[in-house]
Parts: sequence; structure tokens; C-alpha cells
Amino acid sequence: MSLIEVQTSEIVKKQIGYKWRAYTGVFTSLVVIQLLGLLFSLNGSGSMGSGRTVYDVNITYYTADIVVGFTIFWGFLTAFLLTTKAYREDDFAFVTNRKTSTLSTIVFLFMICVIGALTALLSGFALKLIAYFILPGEEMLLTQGVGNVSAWLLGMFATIIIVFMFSSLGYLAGMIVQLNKMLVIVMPVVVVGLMILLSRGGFQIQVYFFEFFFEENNAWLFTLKTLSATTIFYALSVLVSNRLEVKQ
Amino acid sequence: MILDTDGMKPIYIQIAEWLESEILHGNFQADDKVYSQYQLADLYNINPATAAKGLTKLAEEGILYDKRGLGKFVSTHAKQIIIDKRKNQTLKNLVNDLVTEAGRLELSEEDTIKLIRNAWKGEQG
Amino acid sequence: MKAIKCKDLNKRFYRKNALNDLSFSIEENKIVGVIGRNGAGKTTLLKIIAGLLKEKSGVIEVYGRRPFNNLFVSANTIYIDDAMNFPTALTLKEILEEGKRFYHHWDHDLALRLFDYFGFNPSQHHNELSKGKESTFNMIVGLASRSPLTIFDEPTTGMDAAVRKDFYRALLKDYLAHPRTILLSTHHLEEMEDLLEEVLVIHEGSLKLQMSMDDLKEYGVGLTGKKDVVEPFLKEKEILWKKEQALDTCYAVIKNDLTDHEYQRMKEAGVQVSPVKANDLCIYLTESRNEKGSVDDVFDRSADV
Repeated sequence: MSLIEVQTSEIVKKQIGYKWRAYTGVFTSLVVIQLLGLLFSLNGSGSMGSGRTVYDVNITYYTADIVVGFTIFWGFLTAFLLTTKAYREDDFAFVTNRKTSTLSTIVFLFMICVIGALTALLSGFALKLIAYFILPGEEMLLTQGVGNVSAWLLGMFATIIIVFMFSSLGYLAGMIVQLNKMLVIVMPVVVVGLMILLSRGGFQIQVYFFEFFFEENNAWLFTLKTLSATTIFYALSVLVSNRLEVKQ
Repeated sequence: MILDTDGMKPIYIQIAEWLESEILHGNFQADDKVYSQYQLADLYNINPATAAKGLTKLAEEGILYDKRGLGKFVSTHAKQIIIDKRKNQTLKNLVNDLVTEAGRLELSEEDTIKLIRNAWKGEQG
Repeated sequence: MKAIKCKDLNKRFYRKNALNDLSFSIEENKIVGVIGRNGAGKTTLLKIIAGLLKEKSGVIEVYGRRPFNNLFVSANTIYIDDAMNFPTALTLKEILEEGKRFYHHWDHDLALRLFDYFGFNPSQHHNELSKGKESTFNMIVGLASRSPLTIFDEPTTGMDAAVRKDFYRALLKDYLAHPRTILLSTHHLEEMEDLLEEVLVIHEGSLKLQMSMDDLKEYGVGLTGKKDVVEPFLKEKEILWKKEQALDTCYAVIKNDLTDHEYQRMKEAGVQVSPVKANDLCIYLTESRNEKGSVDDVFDRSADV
């Protein structure tokens, strides 16, 4: 049999297709988690009421915020799971090395993040429809719906890169845990412990984290921050993964 | 032929002996092409290297000759070589074994020869 | 060209040596058996060759390249063991199709014909298969891939005798048509010894022996007879194994370097000279050299108490 030289790009392409076909479980979990998010959203994501003698005004907001939140969590968890041994061995069932494996996983994660973000935002419409038809309510006001397309697209883009950023965080966390199983306990303890310690010192890192990313009003800066963080997380994962063996 | 995988004899020798028998029986004539190592491997379910060893043994004894790139062929005197070899080696060893065993059983020379005579008659009849 | 070359190869797991200064090389296009006891280091060695594990020290080269994390080696090698992990979402048929996408030499026609022959259901999933069926399926993937270096680690686990026979036959047929380097580790040496061209005997992480199968079959010779008759013949011989039996007889396996003269003298003295099967020889060669002795001693000792 003659020896074959292969290109990294060729194998990465094949691996993306393979993962797309093989990891259909991630779509099942996406559907489940978004339906769950939808269910919680039916309670309304925000409400205010004012009652006087004659009129009773009660306003409930129905938005996809909860579904988006759940999707972010899903992105994190899915990426985390993809680093586990079972998935890595599936990965190495056919031709691959670490580089092609990681690259194809990142592309795959990006693809599913786009899908997750898209369905999450679309669920906002579904939610409004459900609210309109099913829930008791006298008056339905569709605010900032399809009217402002560019704003909606911007929101779409922002959602994608946020979900993707959290997937990179999940991927990094997963890789670190793969180094040593003990870390699955140690890592959350350390992270939460640090947060508590820092907040006692008056520095609430989680607040800072949210301000840093989500209260950025400049779209360009926001994109830059998010994508840079994503890149850093994935780069760190690659460094960690190079210390792993495939089968033990 | 079914290979005797448990026996004393290495497989390649069994292959060689089988080919010798085929030549003795006239199934392969002088200058006929014999089986290749791959055909033998397929026939007997063995590694082709083992089959090749059997062929090489026959070639070294002058029973087969090589045509470059074409394979192995039966040499002109193959039959005679095989008969001589079997007479001088195989048969002689068998007789030696017979005598040793007869000695162990304390059979006399006369009795042993008688045994052979009887067997010979039985074979002929 | 050498398919595999390794020199002073070492591997450690949790401070325990799995491989000790292993050095050998394997020529291309041979079927080579990797023989050894459980835990001898066969699997570790095969996984290092396949690039799935990283060596601790020493040199390992597959087609001239270091296998760990190497795309070239991965593209030209397939490693099949009894713990193959295929995605649970894919059906058996889909797994074969993935194989076709990844391996350049993949013979899909062969894969499908074997798949039919062994009575697989295309819509079944890998994790639903019985142990024997799973091994059979993995074997199909291994054969159909036609990888220049094909590694089977204990491929026959769970297969019944008939399927094992079919497997050996299929392996040989495909090898004859498409010669390639095949490494096989097995517990059933006696079943597949005729298939092998060469053997590597591994014992406690070290290379015990590397030779052609034909030579291994003639490597040892067994002597049986009265102890006082056999023993003089054992002087100046390399004794591979010795066991005392009932009635003052003993059985000794020595290296087969007897001259015709010695052979005759032994026969005359009443020593039975017998060939030693390759499988038995491997068991003798890999007998652990600890104080525990043989399994007989376990029973003898309990009888003492």
C-alpha cells in the first residue's frame, strides 16, 4: 500500500463534516434547553404594575432573554462535554491529530453557536405569538419587533459571539479537567473561592466581568473584547490539550 | 493435502514434500510452472513467506529452477532427484527408526525382517 | 524501507515501567505477531506505534516519522482494539461511510460484502453490538481501511471459533491481494501462527525475542526421560524451561542447536526428543521469574498448611 500525504486543511474539513453528523446529540440538548427556557419565559421576563382606584395596569414583558441565557449555558456545557474522553476517542477513531481535532471542534462549536443563537432569538417571536394567543391579556403591544432590522441583526451578531465566547470558556475548563480528574472539584472551588475573597475586598469580579463585556456601548469595542477573550481561551485550551494522550 | 499443523514437520517442509509428490505423480512435468508462493499461501492458508521457504528449499535441491520474474519451474531431472533423496534420506531414516524401536522391544533381526516381509506382501496383495 | 523502527523505547505509567529499552525494527509488508502475557506491554507498545500514546524516552519511528500527534502517521495507520469508540449517533453503515471519507485506500465494496457476510444490520448502532459482533465489525473497519500499517490489538475478543477462522482467512486473502504491514497481538497464537511471518515476544516490557515464525517453530526442542539420563545432556545447553514430572522423569526445553550426532546419542539413550509448539515456547519464555513458581505450587503450598 502506498503511503499517503495529507493536508491539515483536508482533514479538518472531513472532521467538521464527521462531527456534524456524529455529534447530533448537541442539537437534541439545544432543543430541550431552549424549550425549557421558553417555558420559563412564559412567566414574563419582567413586569410592572400600577393600580389605582379605577384602572389596574399590569405590564408584562415577553422576551427571549431567558432562552438566550439558557443557550449561553448550553454553549458552555456542550464545549465542556466535547473535551471528555468519550468524545475525544470518537474524534480519534479516524485520521486526525491534535491540531485538526481542535480546529475542527472550534469550527463545529462556532457553527452550532450560530444555530443556537439564531434559534434563541427566533424563539422571541415564538414567545410573543404564544403570549398573544394563549396567555390572558387584554392588550398586546409588539415592541421593537421586526421593525428595526439592523438592530435585530446586531443583537443576533452579539448573541452569537457571546455564546461562542462561553463555549470557548467551557472548552478551556473541560481541557483543564481532562488533565486531572480532581480538577473537576478543585477548579469550581478555586473560582468561587476567589470570587468570594475578592468581593470581600470590595472587588466583585463577576460584576466587573459583566460590565466589561455587556455594558460596552460601542459595538466595535464589544466585538473586539469578546473575540479576543474567545481567542485567548481557545489558545489556552490548545496549550493544555498538547499535554494529553489519546488513549490510556 | 491437509496440513498437519501439530506434527513434527515444519509447514514449509510439508509444502515442499507435497510439491515433490505432485511431481512424482506426474501432475507437474519437467519445465512446468509450479504454484507461486501466493497461490500456495492461498491454498494452504499460510503466510506467503512460509510458502516461499518451501519453494526455495526445492530450488536449492535442484528440483525447481528459477525464471526471473516468471516464477519457479520443474527441472528436467526433478523426478530422479526426488527419488534419490527419498531413498537415501527419508527411507533410511525410517528404517533406522524401525531398527531402534525393534531393539527397544527386543525383537531379533530375523523377526524384524519377517515383519517387513509381511507388510510388503500385505501392501502388494 | 522499515515500517517501524524503535530504539531504547521507554514508557512509564504512574511510576511503573511499562516498556523498558525496547529496540527492534519491522520491515514493510509483513504480518507480525506481537506475543506476550497480559500486562507485558503489548498494548502500550502498539498504541505508541499508532501515535495514541507518547513515549517517555527513546526513539520511535513509523515510516521515518515520530508517530505521536502526527497526521501523516495517523493517515497511514489504523489501530483496532476491542475498546473501539465510535459515535453512538451513527449507524454501522454510517460508520463505514466515515471510514471511506477518511482513509484513502478504503475498499468500500469489501467493507459492504464482509458486512453482509457476517450478517450485520445497517441501521444498528455500535454500542448495541455484543462483544463478538463488535470485534467482528471493528475487524471489518481494520481490513477495509487497507492502511499501509494496520494494527490489530487482540482483534478476536469474544468472536466464536468459526468467526475467528473467517477472520484469519479474510486477513490472509486481503493481505495476499494487497500486501501491507500488519501487526497482530493475540492470545490465540496457535490459531494464527501459520499466518504470521515474524513474531515479537514481549515480556515485562522488554523484547524477549524477535524472529521469523518458521524459526520460532524450530527454536526449541523438548527432551523427556529419566532425570539422570536427561540431565547430562543439558550441560552446556541453554535451558529454556524445565519441569520435573512423576517417576523421576523430567521434561526440559532447550535451544534447538542439536547436531545429528547429539540427536542420535539422545535417541539411543532413550531420551524422547520432541518439537515444541510455538505457543508453548512463548509461554515458557514469558514465565514470570518471581518466587511464585507455577500454578501447581499454589496448590502444593495450600496442601502443606
